[in-house]
Amino acid sequence: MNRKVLLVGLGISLPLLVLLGFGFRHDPQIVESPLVGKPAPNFRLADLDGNIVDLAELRGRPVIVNFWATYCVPCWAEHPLLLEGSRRWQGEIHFLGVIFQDDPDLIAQFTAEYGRWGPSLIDEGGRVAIAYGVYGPPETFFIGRDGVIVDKAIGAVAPEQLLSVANRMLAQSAAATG
Amino acid sequence: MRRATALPGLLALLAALALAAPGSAQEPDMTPRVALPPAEGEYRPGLGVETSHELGDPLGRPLSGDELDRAVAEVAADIRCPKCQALSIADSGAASAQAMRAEARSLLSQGYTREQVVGYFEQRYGEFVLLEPRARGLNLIVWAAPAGIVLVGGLLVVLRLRQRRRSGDEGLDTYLRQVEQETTT
Repeated sequence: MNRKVLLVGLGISLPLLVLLGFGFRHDPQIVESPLVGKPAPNFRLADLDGNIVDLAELRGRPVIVNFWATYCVPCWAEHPLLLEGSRRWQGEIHFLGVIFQDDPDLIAQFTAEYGRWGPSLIDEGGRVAIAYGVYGPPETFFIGRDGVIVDKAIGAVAPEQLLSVANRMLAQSAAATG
Repeated sequence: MRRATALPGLLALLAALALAAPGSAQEPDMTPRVALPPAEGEYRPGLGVETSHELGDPLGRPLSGDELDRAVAEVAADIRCPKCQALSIADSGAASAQAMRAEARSLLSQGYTREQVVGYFEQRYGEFVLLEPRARGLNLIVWAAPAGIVLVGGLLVVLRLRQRRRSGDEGLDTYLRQVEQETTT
């Protein structure tokens, strides 16, 4: 009888433990993007100065698209890293910011004070954010020279990820052009 | 005494933290001033995102009026708000939910079907955006588990009852035998 109870108990609890163990290995906040490995949705947006940026026209060079806002604390945290990256790969990688549900005036104020790593694009109606499946800022998409999304960062982009993905995209570029 | 010596250190630490913070010198107003999505037809022409090549041709007819409102409500009830916990975009007032409802309205008014619109959101956000997961692959566990648990539970209850009845009968038999023995001797 006791053995039976033990077996039934194990039969019920073991699969649950396996399921929990599997679940605890993943951050529930991180949802894998189905867009990685697929062509980046093309967009055409105006920056704070009214200049139009067309993603399709940037093809041939890697692009880093970062969705951000001034009310988002991790966006502040990653700002110096993106500044450093934009300086380091100037002329090699395009850095584009897409404003995520924020007031363009606040963005202008922020970039005037803390520096600008790329144009901040106004996403009217948040349609570009929807096309990229953005859950919340910051999210960063790494787009290869062929226009395909190579990787995505959720939350403040880590220096290691920025470095490794940028190098990978540049190596792709070199291989394709060389 | 100890507190007095620790205080300057603490103040210095706080000052260093304040200086290290990116917004310490002159913090911008942190109150989110969220620009609401423009109403239908207010998008600046030529700007935005290309969705047509991903959605293909509209497979339905353009909707308007009450029919459009109903279709938007149906789609919105099935889509999870990305900024909320287990709320549909129909039930959420978040700016993301408003933007997604506006996008659904725009697509339905262009003649895209309900399935195309839901499929578009799923393509962008992944299956997580569907409030009701599709009954396929590992998701089948979610669909089968409740029925399975009820079945196994019911089976256990039946077995237990049978066992109890049997052991109860055995107990009575033993008792009767004992009474018989005692009365005959």
